[in-house]
Amino acid sequence: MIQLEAIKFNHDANDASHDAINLRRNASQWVNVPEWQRAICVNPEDSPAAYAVAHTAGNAVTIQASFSCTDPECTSAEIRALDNVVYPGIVFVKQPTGCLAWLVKVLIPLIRALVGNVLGDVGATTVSFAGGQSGFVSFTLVNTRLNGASVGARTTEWRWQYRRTPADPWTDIAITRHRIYTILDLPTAPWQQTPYQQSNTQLPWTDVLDYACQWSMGATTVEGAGGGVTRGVNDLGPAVVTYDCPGGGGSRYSAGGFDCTDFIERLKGGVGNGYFVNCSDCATFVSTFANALGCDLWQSRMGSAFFHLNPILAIGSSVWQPACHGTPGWSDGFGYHEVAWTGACDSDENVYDACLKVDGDADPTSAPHTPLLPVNLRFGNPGDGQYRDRLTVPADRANCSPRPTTKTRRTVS
Amino acid sequence: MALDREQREMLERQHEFSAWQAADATGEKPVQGFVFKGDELPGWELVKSRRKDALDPPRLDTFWQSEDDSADTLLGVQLIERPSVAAARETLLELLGEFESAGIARRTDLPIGDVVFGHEFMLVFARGNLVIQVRNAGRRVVQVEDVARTVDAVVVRQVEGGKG
Repeated sequence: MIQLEAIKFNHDANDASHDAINLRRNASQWVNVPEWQRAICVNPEDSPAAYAVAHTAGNAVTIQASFSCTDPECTSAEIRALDNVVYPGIVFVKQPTGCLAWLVKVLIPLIRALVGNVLGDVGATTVSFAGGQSGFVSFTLVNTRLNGASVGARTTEWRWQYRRTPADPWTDIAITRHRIYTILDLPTAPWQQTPYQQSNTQLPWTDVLDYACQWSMGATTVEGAGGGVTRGVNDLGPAVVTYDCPGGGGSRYSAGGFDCTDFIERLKGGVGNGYFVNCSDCATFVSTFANALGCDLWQSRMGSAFFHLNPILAIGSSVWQPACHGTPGWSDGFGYHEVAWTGACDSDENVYDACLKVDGDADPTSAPHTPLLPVNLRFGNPGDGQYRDRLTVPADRANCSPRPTTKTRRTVS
Repeated sequence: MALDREQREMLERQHEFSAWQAADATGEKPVQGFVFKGDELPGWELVKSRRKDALDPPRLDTFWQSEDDSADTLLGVQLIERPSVAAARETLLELLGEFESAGIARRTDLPIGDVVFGHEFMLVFARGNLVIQVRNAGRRVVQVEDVARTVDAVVVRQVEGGKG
């Protein structure tokens, strides 16, 4: 009787070109390696792994698995795992022949293309046993779809099988389920890959990837992923968060670092740090979640002096007006504004602003208004019709200047 | 929450920092390890309290739900302990830099804190070595002055006592 004991996806913490990246679940919980352990892991999320597509491209991707055998005469066996969606319980006692063989040959690639898992199958490998234990054995993944894979959080379900000799039929051992994240590239700051130790809270969090991958599902470029996250954050209003008019636009989640733990609590329906957010919060949400997917965005401010606003839709609001018009403590403008920003965070770089929608038509200063969520929109200079012109009234556009000395990536906690 | 020089100069001018940077303060010994037991604010139930040591500066975030209203009425009371009165004033200035509105003004009409800023829906003040924010955190927005006054009275007892 052969049993699957454990599976390692991230078996080389120093490299992500042929295995999964270093992860943790959140600020307090670590992802144990081996990620899958018999009797402990039941649901896909019990066994998470993430692959940086740009790093695995063109490389053979491997996992490691360990087995036990209760039969003292068992010294070796051939072991493999099939995508259980493509091969749902099909065990061919003999190789199919005739029409059935043709049908299998046609159908399997089709099914794999439509619904197959991103990691494909685990290639058959001969495993030796000593004293009933195999230790960890390397397996190469075959039929993977990691090359060019889009952003996603998907379930991989494997049907593990063994046979003692090539003449034997394959016998099922176990079905395992895994939550596999595909991200565009290695996460960028504030996320880290080293040092790979439990005390490092800046290792990418699966709690963040759950949302970032959902928001940017299907993205194949950093612009697409950043846009997906920006839309995802903006869509949180007004159900989950809304702009902090009563509090003067104060930072609730981003003052002194990114309180990501409470933001995620809020996303999951808890109190978090409450209902209200400001621009710094939104900039931090966007850049931190997008950077977990391999984007490279900063949080950076604009505004050398107070500037009045064109009518906008602040996050959570359906009323076109300068932010918080008529609310105590407001005067139809911003003392500063903060967004997720590319590169040097200057006029020539692009912004991703989940905090508000600007008017996207030819005249952003007055009705009618065409909602435009600023996604990969050049910040621009006064008069060129880019982000700055859409946000700020003509007379104050010079005040709404980039302040790249403020660019930062807040530490997550 | 380190400010760059440009930010700091803007904030100092905007909020006339020199006028309150070294103004009189309550208490001599810094308060450390402050906690809310949950019965300090009559009519409000403490629903969440979390100390956040990983943030800079560390803080205590508490959330209070109205006992006679819906769950939509929620107040956040944040308390930051600094090593000294001077450090608390610096932190207050830095916090003022976290408001996107340029209309958060000093209040000399309110007997709350040693120095207080804000309006009916949000107040931020320094009391001794402590910096405290009282803000709406729920969909239903309420006035915060009474709660801020009560919180201030609670901390004054500790600040004046210098209890650790």
